[in-house]
Amino acid sequence: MGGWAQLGWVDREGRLHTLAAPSGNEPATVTAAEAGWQSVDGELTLRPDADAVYLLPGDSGGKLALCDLVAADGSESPWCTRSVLRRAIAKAAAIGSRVIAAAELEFFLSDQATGRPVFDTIEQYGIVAGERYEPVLRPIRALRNNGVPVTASNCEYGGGQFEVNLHHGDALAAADQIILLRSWAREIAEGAGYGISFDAKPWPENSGSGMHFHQSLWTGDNNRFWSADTDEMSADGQSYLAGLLEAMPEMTVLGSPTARAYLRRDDHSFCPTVVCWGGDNRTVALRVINESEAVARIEQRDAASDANPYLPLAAQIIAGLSGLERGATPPPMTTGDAYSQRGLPPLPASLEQALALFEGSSLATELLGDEAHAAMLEILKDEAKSPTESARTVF
Amino acid sequence: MASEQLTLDQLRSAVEDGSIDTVRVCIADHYGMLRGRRLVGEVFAADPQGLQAYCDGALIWDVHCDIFESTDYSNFGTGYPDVFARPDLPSLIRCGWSPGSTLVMSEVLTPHGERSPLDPRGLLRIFAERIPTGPIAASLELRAGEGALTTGWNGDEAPAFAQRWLEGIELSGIALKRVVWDSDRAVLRAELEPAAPLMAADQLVAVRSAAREIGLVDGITVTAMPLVEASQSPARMLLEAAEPLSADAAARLNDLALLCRPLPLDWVGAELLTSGAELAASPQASPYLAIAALVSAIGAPHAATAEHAPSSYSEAADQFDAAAWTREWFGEMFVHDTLELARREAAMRSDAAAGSDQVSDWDIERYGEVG
Repeated sequence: MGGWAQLGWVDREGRLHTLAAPSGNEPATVTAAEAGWQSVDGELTLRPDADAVYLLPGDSGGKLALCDLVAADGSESPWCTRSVLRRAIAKAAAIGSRVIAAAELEFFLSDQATGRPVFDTIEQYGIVAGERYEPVLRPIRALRNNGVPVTASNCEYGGGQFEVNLHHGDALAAADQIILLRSWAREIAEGAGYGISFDAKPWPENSGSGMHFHQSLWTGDNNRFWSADTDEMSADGQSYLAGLLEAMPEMTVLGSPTARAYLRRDDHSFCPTVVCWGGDNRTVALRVINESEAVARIEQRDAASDANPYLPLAAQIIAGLSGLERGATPPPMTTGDAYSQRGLPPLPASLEQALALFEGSSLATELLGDEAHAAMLEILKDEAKSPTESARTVF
Repeated sequence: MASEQLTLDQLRSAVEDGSIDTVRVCIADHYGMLRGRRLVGEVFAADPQGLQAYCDGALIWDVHCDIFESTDYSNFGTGYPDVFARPDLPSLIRCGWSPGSTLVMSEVLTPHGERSPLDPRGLLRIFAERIPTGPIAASLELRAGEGALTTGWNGDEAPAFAQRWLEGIELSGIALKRVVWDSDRAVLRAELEPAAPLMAADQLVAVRSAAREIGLVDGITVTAMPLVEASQSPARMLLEAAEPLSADAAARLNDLALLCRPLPLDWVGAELLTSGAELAASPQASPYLAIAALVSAIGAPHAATAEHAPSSYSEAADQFDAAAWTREWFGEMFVHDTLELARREAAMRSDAAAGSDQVSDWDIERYGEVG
C-alpha cells in the first residue's frame, strides 16, 4: 500500500500510534476507544495521507504515512482530531487563503534513575550547559532529515528544560510534525538513557512547557496580516487577532486539556493569564510580530506542550477566521506588564473553569461537531477530578 | 601561529560533506557566558546573516539567569522583548572540542536595528574601533579537578584534561602559545597569542567555554572561580596591553575595576589590578567588559575619579558609580544596570552570611559555574 512501511495515526490526546502497513487491500482499523474516545463505540479506518509521508528514523529507509481516521464508508469521522484541523484549514481555503504555522516546543530531559530534571539550575540559552545533552539534542535536530523541519534547539528557562524550533509551513504539516517530533524525540532520549517529558508542568517548582503557535494567513504570495502602508497589522490581521482574543477563554481547554496544565498558568510565568495582545512583549497572550511581510504573524502563547496540536491550532484558525469574517476590531494593545494590569479579562485558571466556558461555546461545537464536543466534555470532566499532583503523564 | 577563522565557504563545504552539522549562534551575557541556539548547519548556511531572536533579559540577568525588576533595560514592565542576534561572520570558528560544531558570535540589535546598549561585545567593538590599542595578549586560569577543587591533580604532570583542552583550542584555529598546569597554584592556564581586542575577547570566551564543556562531558569539575579556598592565590584572566599602562590609564582602570572583577568572590584575597602593561581581571569576568575596560582606560581623555584602587567589591561598585566619565563611555543604562546587578549580588552574599574574606559553600554553589 503506497510504498510506506508504517501507518501512523493520532489519538485524541495527540499521541502517535504506528502499525505495519497492511500488505493486502484490507484497510487498517482501530476502535474509537483506542483513539481516546472511551465512551464511543465503533471502528475507524486509517486513510493514509500521501502528502504526509515521512522517512522513519534509523537505517531502515522505510517510510511512515500519517493517516486520517475515517468512517468505514470513507466519510469523515468526528473522532479524528487531524480532520478537525483539516476542516479549519479548508475554511481558510474557502476564502482563498492558506494558513502558515510554526511551533516552538518545550520539554524537559530527566535522569531516568531519579526522575528529576537533568540539571536544576536555570540555563536559558546556555551553550555550555547544553553540550552535555547533545547526544539527545543533536539527533532531534537531525530529524530534519526525516521531514521534520527542526531549525534549532536551546536550553530554556527551567532546570533541565529545552526548546526546539520548527520551520514554518502549512498548518496541517506543522501540527503533524509536532506529533512526530514528540514521539521520535522520546525514542531518541530514552535510547540515550534519559527521560523526556512534554508535560505542561512536570514539577510544580519548575517552569512549565508551552507550545507556542505562530500563524499567518496567505493569499498567493501576499501575507494578509501585512500592510505596507502602516506600522500596524493590516485590517485583516487585526480582525483575525480580534477573533483569536474573543475565543481564547472558551477554547483554552483545547490547548490545556489536563488539570496539571493550569499549574503552568501563573502570573509572571511567561504563560498568559489574561486576554490581551501586544507587540514584542512576553507577558501578553498574543504577540504580534510585524517587521516585514515575510515575518508578519501572530504568536499565541498559551497552549501546553502536551496538548494535541491539531486541536488548539484548529481552534485558533477558526477563531481568527471568525474575526475576519465579521471584520472584528481588537481591543487596544497592552503595553508593559500584562500580569499586573487590572481590567483585562482573565483566562481560565483551572480545568473546571475552562470546561465551563467550553461547554457553552458555539465555536467549539462548530469546530468539533456536537458529538465530539459532548464526548470531549465528558472525558475532560473526568480529567478535572484528577488531583493535579497525580495527573497522568500524557507525554 | 595566527588564528584561523572559518570562512563561510569552508563552513558550507563542511555542512555539505557532513563534517559540520551545528552552528551555535551566540551572544555573551554580562559575565561573558555564551548564550544562544544550536542551529542546524544547513539552516545557518542558507541564511548566515539571519537574525536569531533572544529575550533581552539575557543581557542583564544574574549569574543564574535570574531576572529582576530593578534593571532599567529589561523587566516585566518592558515585557522582556526580543533582541536580535546578527551573526558576525569573521568570528566564526570550529569548536575543536565538540566535533561537528561551530560557533559564531553575534552583534546584538534592538528591534529597530540599533546596537543594544547592554551588549558587552558591542561595547568592546565600539571602543576598539575608537581607540587603536594594538593587540592584547591574554591568558586564562581555571581551576579543575576530578574531585576537590582545592588541589586539582597531584603532582606536576599535566592531566589528560589539559591535553584535551589544548587540542580543542588548537583545532578551533585559536592561536595558542601553550596550556600550563601550575601545580603550585592548582590552576590550569591557557596562554593565547596576542590578538586584536575583539578577537582576543572572542577567543577567551571560547577557551573558557571549551574547558567547562569538556569538563561537563568528561565529569571533570572546572570552575572560573578565582579561588575555592581563601588561602589560595587567585586565578586570573591576565590581559596584557601592547605597551605599559600609563599612570592615567591605570587610574582609570580603578574606576572600572567592577567590570574586571564583577563578583564578590573576585575581591577575596585580590591582588593588584594593574602592573606594567597587565590587567589582572577575574576568570569570571566577561572578557568583553574586561578588555573594554582596558581599552577605554588606555584611550579615554578623562581624568580618573578614583584616587586609589578599590579594595572591596562594594568599593569597586561605589567607584564605578562615582566616575562620571564611565557613563559617557558605557552609557547611563549600562552603568545603572551593572550597579544594580552588583549591589544585588552583594546583598545576596551578605544575606547568605558568606564571610567577606572567606569562600563558603554558598559561594561555590552560586559562582561555581560562572563562565
